[in-house]
Amino acid sequence: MSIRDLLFATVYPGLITGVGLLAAWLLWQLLFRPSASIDTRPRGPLWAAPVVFTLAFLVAYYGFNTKPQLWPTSSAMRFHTTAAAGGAIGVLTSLVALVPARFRWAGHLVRHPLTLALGAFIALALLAPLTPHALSAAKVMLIAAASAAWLALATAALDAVAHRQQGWRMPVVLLPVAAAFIPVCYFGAYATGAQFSACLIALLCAALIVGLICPRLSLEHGGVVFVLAALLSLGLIAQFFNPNSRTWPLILLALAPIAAGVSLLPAIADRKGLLPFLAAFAPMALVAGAAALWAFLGRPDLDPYPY
Amino acid sequence: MRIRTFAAVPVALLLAAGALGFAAHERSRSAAAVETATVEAAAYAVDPVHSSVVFRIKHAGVANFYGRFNGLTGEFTFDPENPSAGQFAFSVKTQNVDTGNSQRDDHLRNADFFNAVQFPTIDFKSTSITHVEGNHYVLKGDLSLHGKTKPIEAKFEWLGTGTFRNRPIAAFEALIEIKRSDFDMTHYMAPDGSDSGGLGNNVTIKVAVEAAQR
Repeated sequence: MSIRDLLFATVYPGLITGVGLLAAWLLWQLLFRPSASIDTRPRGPLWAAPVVFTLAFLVAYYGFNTKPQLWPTSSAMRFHTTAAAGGAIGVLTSLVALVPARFRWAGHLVRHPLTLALGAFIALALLAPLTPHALSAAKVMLIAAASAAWLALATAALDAVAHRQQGWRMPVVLLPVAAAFIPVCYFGAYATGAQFSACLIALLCAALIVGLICPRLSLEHGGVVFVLAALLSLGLIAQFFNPNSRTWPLILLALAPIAAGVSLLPAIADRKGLLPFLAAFAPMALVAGAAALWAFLGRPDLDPYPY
Repeated sequence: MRIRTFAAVPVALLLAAGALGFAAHERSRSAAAVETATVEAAAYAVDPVHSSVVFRIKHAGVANFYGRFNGLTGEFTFDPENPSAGQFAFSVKTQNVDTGNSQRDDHLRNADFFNAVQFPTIDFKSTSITHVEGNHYVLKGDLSLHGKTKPIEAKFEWLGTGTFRNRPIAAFEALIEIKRSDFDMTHYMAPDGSDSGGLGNNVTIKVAVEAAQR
């Protein structure tokens, strides 16, 4: 990886995220200073996270590709479009927070179908071109349905976690999954996946720093959708375009966001202090760590002269 | 009435004989035409075991790196006296890339480069061939790689004909120069599209074919 690649994979996306989130949340606090009640809604510019995450991710993509296209013929290179779709749906779902409390049920009725549709869109955008020679149409439809269900479930679980884990905490909860993607992709000979996992880490680290400055920073309804959409895109490519990719570490990574739901158990969620955060972070880190270890143990033998 | 019948029989026989004669003549003419065509532009099938596809690409902006694709298949018709009638169609599996390092081969097959799952073959189909001098020609055609089909031009050298295991064979070499960015393969390429990146943009492909007459 050259210095230029490093800049585009991590530094620029991190800077864009950091500056963008900080500006949005500080301005929001200046313009709409929170009143006495901590539950006053909206709590902040929830739309800012999906917007800056998408922008930063696209900068990385355009930095890596000398001929970037919105819809490349090689569907394995469409992950920027599917991730950006995640950002767009993230912005739409963040608008739910603006709906008056008594009509919020209507917002939720829209939010879940949107994430379901997003999951199916990501799978179809990436895998439909593989029919019929590599995957049957029925198999692609099945994968699309599974992706839709996973994205809706994982978003619901992590949105609820993000609602409670504000500031620096939620980026820390998400970091293990993004980090575990690096060895899973790298040892599966999918370098692009590893590079863009590093980009996601940079985005989350920038959000973490902003979270230290703005304790009410929240990634719910938007930020979470983008991160999960990007991970789903990279995971599907790693699994279906790379014959030597290992399936079980990817399945473990898919289970990690749901494992964070442990923190939502009433006995834990209502506790004060760091316990709810640890109950969200530890299962994620454990499952993601197991996936990374599995990928590492199954790595190909290293050559004396690495290519 | 009887006289007319008697007259009609020889006329019918004559007509039938004439028709048979004409048909025989047409058959012999078409057979001759086939024979001429066979002589003029023989059809050949690529012998994958004795044919090579070798590519060269700049590595780290300095070194020339060589790799190959095994198992070229295809067929062609060619007559050096009438090159414009020649037709060439070749195919090679992207899965068959071979750079002498299994990890690198796996990486080349996957989403970052050839995307062998979505694009299992690299195909070439000729559109024209023109004589330059001696046994040198210019072969033009469409190259389909990584989901893109682009017109390309190859320097073509006809090496001649011979026999191998009592079968007539023919051989040629073609030299093709492409930019991989034209086929949306830009991984590890310099942003300015030059050869100075981790991997160069310009790729030289040498196709050496031995083919058995069909």
